[in-house]
Amino acid sequence: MIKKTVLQNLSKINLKIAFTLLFCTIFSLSFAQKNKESKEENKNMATAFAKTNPKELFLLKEVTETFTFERSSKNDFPSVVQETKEVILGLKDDQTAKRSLFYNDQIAIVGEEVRKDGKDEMSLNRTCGNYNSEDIFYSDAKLCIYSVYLEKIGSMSTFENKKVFGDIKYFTTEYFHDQLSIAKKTMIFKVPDWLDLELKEINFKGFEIEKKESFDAKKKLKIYEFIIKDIPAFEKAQFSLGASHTYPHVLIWAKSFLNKNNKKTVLLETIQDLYRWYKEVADQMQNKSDAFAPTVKQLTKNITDDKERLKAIYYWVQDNIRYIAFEDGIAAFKPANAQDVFTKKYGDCKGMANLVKEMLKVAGFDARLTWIGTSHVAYDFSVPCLAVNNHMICTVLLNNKRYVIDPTEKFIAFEDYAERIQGRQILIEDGDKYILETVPVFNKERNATILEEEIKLVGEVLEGKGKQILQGESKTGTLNMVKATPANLQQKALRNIVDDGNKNFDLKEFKTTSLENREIPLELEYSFALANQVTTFEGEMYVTLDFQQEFKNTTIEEKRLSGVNFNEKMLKKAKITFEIPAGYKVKQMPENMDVKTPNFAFTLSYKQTGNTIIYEKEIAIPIKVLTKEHFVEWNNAIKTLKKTYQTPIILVKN
Amino acid sequence: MKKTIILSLLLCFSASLAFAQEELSKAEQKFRKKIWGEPSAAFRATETPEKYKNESAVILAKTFEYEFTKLSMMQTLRETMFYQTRIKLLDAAAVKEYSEISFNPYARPSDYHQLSEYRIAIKIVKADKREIVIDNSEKVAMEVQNDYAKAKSFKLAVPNLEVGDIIDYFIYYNFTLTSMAFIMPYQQFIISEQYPIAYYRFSALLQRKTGMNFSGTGGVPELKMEEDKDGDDIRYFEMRNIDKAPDLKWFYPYRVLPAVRFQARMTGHYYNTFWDAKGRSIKTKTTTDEWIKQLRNDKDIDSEISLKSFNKMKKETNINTFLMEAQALHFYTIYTNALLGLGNGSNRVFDVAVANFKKNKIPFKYAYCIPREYITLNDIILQRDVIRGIYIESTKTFAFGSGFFGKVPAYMQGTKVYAMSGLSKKPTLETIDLPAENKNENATLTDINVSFIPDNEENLLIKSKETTLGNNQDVSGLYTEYQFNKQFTDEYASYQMKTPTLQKEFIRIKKEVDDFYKSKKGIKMNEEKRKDTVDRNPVVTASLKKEYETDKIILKRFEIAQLGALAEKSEVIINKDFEIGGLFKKVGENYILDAGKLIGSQLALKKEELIRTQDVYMPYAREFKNTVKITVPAGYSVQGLEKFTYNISNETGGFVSKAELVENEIIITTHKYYNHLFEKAADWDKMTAFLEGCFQFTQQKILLKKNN
Repeated sequence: MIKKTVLQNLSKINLKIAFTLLFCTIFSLSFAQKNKESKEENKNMATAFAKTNPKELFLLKEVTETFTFERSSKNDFPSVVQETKEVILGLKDDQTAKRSLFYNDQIAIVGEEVRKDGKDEMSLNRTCGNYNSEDIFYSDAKLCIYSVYLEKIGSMSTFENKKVFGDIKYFTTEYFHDQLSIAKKTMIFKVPDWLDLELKEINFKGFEIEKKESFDAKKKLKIYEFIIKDIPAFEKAQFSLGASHTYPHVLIWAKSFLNKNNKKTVLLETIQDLYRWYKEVADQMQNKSDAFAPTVKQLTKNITDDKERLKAIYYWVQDNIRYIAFEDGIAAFKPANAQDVFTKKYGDCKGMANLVKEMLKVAGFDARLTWIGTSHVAYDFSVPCLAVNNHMICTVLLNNKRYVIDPTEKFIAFEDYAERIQGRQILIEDGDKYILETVPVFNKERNATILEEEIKLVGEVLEGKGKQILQGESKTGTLNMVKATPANLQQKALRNIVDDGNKNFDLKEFKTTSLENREIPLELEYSFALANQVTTFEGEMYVTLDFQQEFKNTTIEEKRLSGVNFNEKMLKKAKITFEIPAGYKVKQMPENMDVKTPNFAFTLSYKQTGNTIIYEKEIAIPIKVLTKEHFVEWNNAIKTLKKTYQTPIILVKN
Repeated sequence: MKKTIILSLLLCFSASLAFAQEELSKAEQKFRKKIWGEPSAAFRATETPEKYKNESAVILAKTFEYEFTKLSMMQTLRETMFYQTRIKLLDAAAVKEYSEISFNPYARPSDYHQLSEYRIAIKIVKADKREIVIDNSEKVAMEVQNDYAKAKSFKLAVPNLEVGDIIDYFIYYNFTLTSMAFIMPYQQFIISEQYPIAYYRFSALLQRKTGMNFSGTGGVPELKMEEDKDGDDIRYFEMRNIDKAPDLKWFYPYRVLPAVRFQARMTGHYYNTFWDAKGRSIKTKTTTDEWIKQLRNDKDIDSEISLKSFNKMKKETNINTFLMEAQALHFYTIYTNALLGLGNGSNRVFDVAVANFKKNKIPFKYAYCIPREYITLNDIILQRDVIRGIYIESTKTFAFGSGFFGKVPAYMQGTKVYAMSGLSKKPTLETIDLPAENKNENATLTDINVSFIPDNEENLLIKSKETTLGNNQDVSGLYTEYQFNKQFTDEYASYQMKTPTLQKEFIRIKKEVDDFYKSKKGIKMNEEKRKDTVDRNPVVTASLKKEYETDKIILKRFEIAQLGALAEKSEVIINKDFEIGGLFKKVGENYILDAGKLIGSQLALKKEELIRTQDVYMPYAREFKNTVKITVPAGYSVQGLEKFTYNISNETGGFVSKAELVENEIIITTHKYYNHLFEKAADWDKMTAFLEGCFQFTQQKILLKKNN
């Protein structure tokens, strides 16, 4: 099937040449006819698909992935062989499909072949190299990209490849979706009786996936076959969740195996096994505290309160160690030595967690390494495999309480937790055992932003003073943004939060609370003049008070598959007090809006008190992710919100 | 976040290239000692000048040393480049930027260069003066390879970097030229950077048989000379306190900021008017005599070609017709070549023209011109600085042999150029001005018809007809190749030229085109092009979204009614019908219409942009006229038209607008214009006056009031 296999079998083929030649003469007559029909079928299929999907250039007509498991002749350890055959159809003339295969130190590409129209083998047009990601400084992940040329609409090529996962632990998930649309995909797992492996079906609901199970008594294989038809490509929607939350896939849980002597070896059967493996890797570190002990001493000097001492160290690591991500072989699981991270002043999450732990230990704290999967990952420890975790933090046990600290977060206060780790299970080291816990969850109030403005009219310009209070994610997000800005442009960046880059907004006085104190809300106080928000027509004045109009343009494409990831729970409050100019009275005020659902609430109200109009707005979103079933009610609410925003206050002369 | 140290050299693939490893060989140690062991005062500095204390980072010292030498007794040339930068990081943003460094030792300037030595070294100077040399062995390699080539670059996470630290790094390239390549690659760079530079030094060392042409602009001082310890001459200049490069609209950095251009070469082997024959020389000025010599030389070459090709040429029609037709023929030639792959040299039209001028004694000039974005006539040091062509003053026509025939291109307008009569037997060199176009030669005239859509409370329907002239024309990317081809062929189908020679050429090429379309290859190509169903609507939709600063655009129709290829029909005419959202709101039974925004978004200058100290370099004089017609729905009256009256006009340009109601139609007319392609910084407030007026216009609204 694969090039290498073909070469290995050449000698056998030679023996059969005589027979084959005879057979071919007879066969070729019927083959030509069949080939013509198949070409016709491909063309019809491509034309029909292109008609309904005009933007797509290729269709995977058929994809078959077969996974088999072998015990190594060297060490008896199980490896996984993945053989993939895909049939690609061109949907337009003269197109080149790019197909890619990932590999690294643990996963090898051992065979690859491209065939045109299912017969002529094409020379491989392949480019391989390091996978470059903006967020990761260095990763051992590598990528080969294969160019598959398709001459005409309906042209067909096949791409076959074979990959080997040297260690079954790294074989964790298989998705049905692809970068291209697929007409039919079959995923076959041939699990031998010596391997205890469970296939967890994730996100199958809502997709028609046919599942067949059979047993090959001769080869002692349990065969699982999954078939899915007509699936679109991975969508490229904004504010998407991690793929594991949205797309159907198989999570592979390799628990144990019997070696050739029928002796059971546990892989990752329980959380204890996973912990043991993590711990073994982590224990390879050789931490030495000499380098940072003086700093710890200096930081905690004259501080008697334990929490304050803890904070001094935690904040120092946040502020002084740069996060640089490395994902390199075993180093993707093994933290760097604390003294190295301290000296270099950079580290990845593991290195930073380890440094903060070791520094806290020097200060006399009981600090532990802690493994966690952030909210990007859909799983918890109920399936203890390597796909569960993607992050490392630290837990401090103090006065019978456990405090989670994540030194990769910047400008976050002690006992505050970023949204991405809230509610996530954590695996805390505890000698040979482990502690399984959950990071506390905060409600939307943690992230509340509050705006208050007092405005009056001068000519046709709104003038006033205001104050914005930022907390939680909006505070840490703002501080991150400002601190990444050159010092001489930081004021401009902060002012931009208020004026939103709007030329009509003339921000005058402006001051903020300390940018250094992460334990208090960030407050912005200002005075301003806002032009072109008021228009006068023959004695009637049309006034729009709300210039920010959050969520106005957030109508969701209802067809999208992924839920909308707001990244945080939200509470946005505003109160704008407007002084009605002398000689004018209110002719009309916008209608109030009060839409409340368990997932979101929009409350906007206008009230006249004496010569002032008080506009109050509260947008409350107590969830982080809006799931698909709520898109319609969200869009209806946004429609009403838009209308409310659009309606001005009308003032007339007395 | 990531600092790339690749310099301005060309990045390319290289199969296998040995370069000095970081295992600190003796040579490496010696090299480092030489650089860091005895630094000049500037490279010992630790304090930033007072005026730069609020910057994110300051380059305390930067040097570029260039050497081009011939190894004695050997037929080998050596070109070395040494860069050293010492930068003080004053805030976290700068620390972050320098915390990850990428470098690429495979950069090389040309095929015949062999990189024989490459060194990079980085050290950090801490606030307490401690110096820490970064261990290069901690770098990680990023590789890409296919069956033919392999490329490798490196990334290094710089350890222990803090605010207040100084990074002092150098890069050294030593190229060996195995073949006797006599001319080194041309180099040009701006000295200013994103951070101010406290001290800058450029130096060049040239030995025996090597020389260089050099020009420094934007305040670069004259070169000085000193002798190094080996007795070699070093030419150098130093600059202090170079402000960071500004990020400005309408700004030509090469014209304004300190910049250098140079090219080194062997002496005595290669003839060039502008090369100095003797070695160890640096030439910084060209002379009038040299240009006369060069022009005469070039003129002779042209004469030879053109007269040979067209020696039977007859008296042609009048000059205006001839030039218009020559332009049309040129356009036809280059597009048929580009679209069909035909091999008609586009310089044939040029040759015909030169032959015609000579034969019929039509005055024309040979001219050496300069793209005004880079330099002025005073700064030319090399032939490559100029574009050679012919110029006909009476019609402002410009042509160069290899690819242009028409009006003086925008990028040359308003410049002083060297010229010489094309007819005179003993011509003299003169300096003439290439004229700048008037605003009405680069115009966009748009008719915008606006109507409400029944039962639609979101969108308006706009039908626009946009007519563009001159440099405002741009149809690139809007057409499929087939559409363009067809439109092009249609426009030329019945075209007749009055000039016999041109008509003959035209018929000849047209026949070639016709024959091509009848050929197997042509039929196939035409069929394939016809199938080019790539939808251009997204491109047009995207441009409308940008123009109106909204995502709410639904394109209904797009048509290029006229391509503007022929001189008689030189306007590009584009029709667009589309729905646009968010431009009106319903208030009770009334509508408030954002009518000012119907002319598209206009330049919104930020507060800090209102003050300007740099001159204003624009592409060309131009104007934009809009006529917006809004059908008033039956039963509604109109208020607020008086707010659309603007009349701001001065010598730099203007914005004039008005609105009126004619029967049931609101008619708004606007005229925005820029009189020149250049304004002095002192006149910036005049420009902002009309630019601000135009922005304010876009903020105005109309009330459509339901009649009682």
